[in-house]
Amino acid sequence: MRVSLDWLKDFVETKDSLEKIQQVLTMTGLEVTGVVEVEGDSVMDIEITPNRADCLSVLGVARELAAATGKTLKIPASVKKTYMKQGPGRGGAKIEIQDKKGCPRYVGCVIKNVKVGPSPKWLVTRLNAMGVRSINNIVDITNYALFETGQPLHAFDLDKLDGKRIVIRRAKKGEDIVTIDGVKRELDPTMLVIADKERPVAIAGIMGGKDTEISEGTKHVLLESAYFDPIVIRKTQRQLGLASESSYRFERGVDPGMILSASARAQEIIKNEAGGRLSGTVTDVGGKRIKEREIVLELGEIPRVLGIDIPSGNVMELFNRLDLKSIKKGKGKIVVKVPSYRQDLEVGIDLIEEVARLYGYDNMPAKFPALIKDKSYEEEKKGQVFLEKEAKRVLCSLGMNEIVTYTLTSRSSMEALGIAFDNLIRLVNPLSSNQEFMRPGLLSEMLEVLGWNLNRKNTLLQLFELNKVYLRGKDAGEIQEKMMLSLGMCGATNGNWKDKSRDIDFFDLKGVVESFLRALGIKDYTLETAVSFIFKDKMSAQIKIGGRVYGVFGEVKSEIARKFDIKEKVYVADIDMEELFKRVDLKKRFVPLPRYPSIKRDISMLADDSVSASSIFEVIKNEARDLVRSIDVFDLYKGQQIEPGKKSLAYTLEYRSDEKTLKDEEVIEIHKNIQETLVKKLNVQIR
Amino acid sequence: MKLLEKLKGIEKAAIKEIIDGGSLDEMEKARVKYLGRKGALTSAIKNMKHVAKKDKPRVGKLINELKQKMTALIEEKERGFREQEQVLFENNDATLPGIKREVGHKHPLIKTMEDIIDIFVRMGFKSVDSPEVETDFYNFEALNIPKNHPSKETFHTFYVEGGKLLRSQTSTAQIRIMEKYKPPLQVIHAGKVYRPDAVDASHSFMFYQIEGFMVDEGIVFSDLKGVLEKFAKEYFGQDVKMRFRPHYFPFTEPSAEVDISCFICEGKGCRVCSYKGWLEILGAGMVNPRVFEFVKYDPSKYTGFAFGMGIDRISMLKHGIDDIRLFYENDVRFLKQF
Repeated sequence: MRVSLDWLKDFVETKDSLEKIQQVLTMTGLEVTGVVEVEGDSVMDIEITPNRADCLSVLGVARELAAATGKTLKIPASVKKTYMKQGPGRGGAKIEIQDKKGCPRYVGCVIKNVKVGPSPKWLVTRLNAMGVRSINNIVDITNYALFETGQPLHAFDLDKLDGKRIVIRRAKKGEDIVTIDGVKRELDPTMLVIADKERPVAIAGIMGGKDTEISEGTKHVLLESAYFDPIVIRKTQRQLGLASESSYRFERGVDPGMILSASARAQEIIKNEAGGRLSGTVTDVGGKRIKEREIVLELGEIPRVLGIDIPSGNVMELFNRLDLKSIKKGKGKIVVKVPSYRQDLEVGIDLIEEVARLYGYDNMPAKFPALIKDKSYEEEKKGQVFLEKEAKRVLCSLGMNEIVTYTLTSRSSMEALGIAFDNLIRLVNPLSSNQEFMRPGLLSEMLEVLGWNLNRKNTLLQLFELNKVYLRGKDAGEIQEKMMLSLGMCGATNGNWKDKSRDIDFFDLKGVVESFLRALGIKDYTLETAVSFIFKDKMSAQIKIGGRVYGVFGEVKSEIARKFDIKEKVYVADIDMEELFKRVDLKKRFVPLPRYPSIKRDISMLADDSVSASSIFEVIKNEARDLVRSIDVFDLYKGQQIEPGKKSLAYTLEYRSDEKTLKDEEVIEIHKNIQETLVKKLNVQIR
Repeated sequence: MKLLEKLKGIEKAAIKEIIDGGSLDEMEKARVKYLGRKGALTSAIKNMKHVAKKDKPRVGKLINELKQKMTALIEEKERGFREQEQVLFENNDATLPGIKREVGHKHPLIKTMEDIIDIFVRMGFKSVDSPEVETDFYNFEALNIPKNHPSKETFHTFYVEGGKLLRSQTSTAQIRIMEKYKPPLQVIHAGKVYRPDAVDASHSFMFYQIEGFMVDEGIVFSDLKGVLEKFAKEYFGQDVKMRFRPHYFPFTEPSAEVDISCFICEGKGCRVCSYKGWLEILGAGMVNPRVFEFVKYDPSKYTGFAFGMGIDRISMLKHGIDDIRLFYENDVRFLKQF
């Protein structure tokens, strides 16, 4: 909210500089977020929290400033009047409240023979400072009183009111109104309206009607000051999408003690600036004496919450500055009377906050709490946070870059990946169709990120995302949040003056998957070729441990990649980390270093194309048993040098025993057996 | 013992030849000439049959020694030649670029999150998880955010089919943990939250938050100040100043917004801090007794503090990132900077 410094000083006598005032207000909870100069006045922008409706006025901010600085508040005499009980006297406004819930109180008065015209300069200047343009003197004065007191007012042209009367009721079905902004608005029975004999003339608490507004021809004015139910106003405001200075205040609750006073304040200024005289008396329907709320505060609660011991006299003095009258009651208790504008103060803790605010948060000491040792909740997701961190560390050390993507995904991405919508979690109010579903997997986002980067000529991509996906649980309404890992690779390695660049392919991804599994202590996995909707035939595999599938990876089919704007070959993996974490074994047990030397022997062979590397591996493993320690493929050739349908393979086998130094003859023997078995079982030619 | 003399002659000639040899080629020639299949030593061995039986071991040993000596000499010279050759033909320009190895990078948001969590874990907080898809009870009601209250407006919310919603703040973790466990509690939780705000340089419909809280008998506002000051000094530096401003949150009372002195201009005022000299980093306060009532804690027995901060914002401040969208676009040129 904007507050003019000049205006503020009408209420608080202060010689403090603007900076000092900003500082004081900010540190009592009214944060000054900016200052602008308007015609020689400084106008502060103040953030008012939703609980402090009482500060949505110059007077309200002045009260805070006075309380914070210990200065006295000057209030105009007319604003001091809080109660008057008068029925509709002769010539007074005729008012009928039909909906007491929506409008418990309505104050109206008729001012006759006003001179409507331009506002005096002082008034125009002040409204300018508040960012409001001048309309005419009567309208300006109602606005002025609103900004000053926080109570919204409205002025009707009395002669335009059918039956010269006001009825407060809900709108009837089919009714509409053209509001002062010239827009026709359909009304419905949930909305509270101010009506005359026939039709709505204002949407209560939000905006007046065009037909009955004050114009140059207006002679007699009906001035409204009322209390409207915050929830009713809020609902109507949202339904119509029509917010105003008035609705903003009614929604947050206006001060019941200000309704009559604000009217009196406006009447006073109208008399001074536009002439006219009050006809009869002020009509106050629903007016009753306002009972001040009393809160009992146990003084011992203050140190229990704040950690500071303030003598009761000082506490009472702080309350006094806030106009909270307090008296001692029994031992260690005080009773605090709350003025009508502090609707936010209801219970003891609310008062403790006031003590803290005025004492100054910055004046409170800082200390470090005693450590809590007993933590029963320690088992909550035991270790998972650590495992996630470790998994990310491993992936980064493998050269993979982490991505973080939106968890809301689009219909088209789901379609592209062949995912049915039925089981997805759909948003009721998505911002756009790009964020319609909660993602059931990470691949659509991975592909989008790959596409985004490729379109920006970032060609070498090695990415991972370890994050949540969202699935329907077994029970109705249950939603499962699950940790998944996606990997994405494409492009070519960075070449340099020593090593040539080469294309990233399936085996780079496979290598990352295997290194990742091993680094997490998972050894008993197998990688088996798999068929999948999204992966190219033959170029995909699944990670299996003990018969269970933990993930898949492969080369994305080009027609699917194209749907993500990708023309290049891309390789992705999709791994269920929620389950895989259960297989992680980070307990490292030392294995004695080899005591005996190892011997390396090569095998070169010519094999049919259909002979898989894994079948060769199996033969070697079976034949050599535990004497072979490593089996590496160091060469693979297909091409013109050999006959079609064949491939040339070269392996290095490392032999070692834990019991003794292997003799040449022993190795030669095993090596020969392996070669013979390969020939026999797989029909290879040894070269 | 003609053979002995002959061997001595071979040795002398060979050594001279090897020592005088000036290239790898000449070494190869010497190897062939003396050690090769038809070389001088080999033919000497063939002459062994003429040696008297008693002299055979001695001569044999001598031949072997000679063989080893010459081989070693040739190899040593060859090594020298090869090194020279390397210097001549291989690259000796040390100013050529090194062969770089790419390391992977953690996402800046995740890095920020982990760094912050680590600080609180060192202070004894336990890191826990909490769901993102929540009910109205955990996101609003139990946090003392009444229906139809303007304060609810700050928390625009996405709803999913079936009545659940995407939490709009990580404070839901307070309720989840307090419902399940009894005090004392000292908990930290980080995760995603959602608000239907149109995406621009400073808004995102999804972002990360961290929530911390401590509940026990005797926890006071001063403890909150102490914990947060320790955090700010560890994360932003020992010289950072901190201030607590009164604020309003439905789930805490008294509530505060916490600023740190701008570490870019050191409080003098700059573009980043909007010339205020202060940067708002988090919201905090004492747990509202009404929240305790919702989780069936006795408010006259327990007190607690809670705080929450936006990780995106902290990461942007810390690294000088001026557009929140960069986090979620994942351009590798961005990712590799962290």
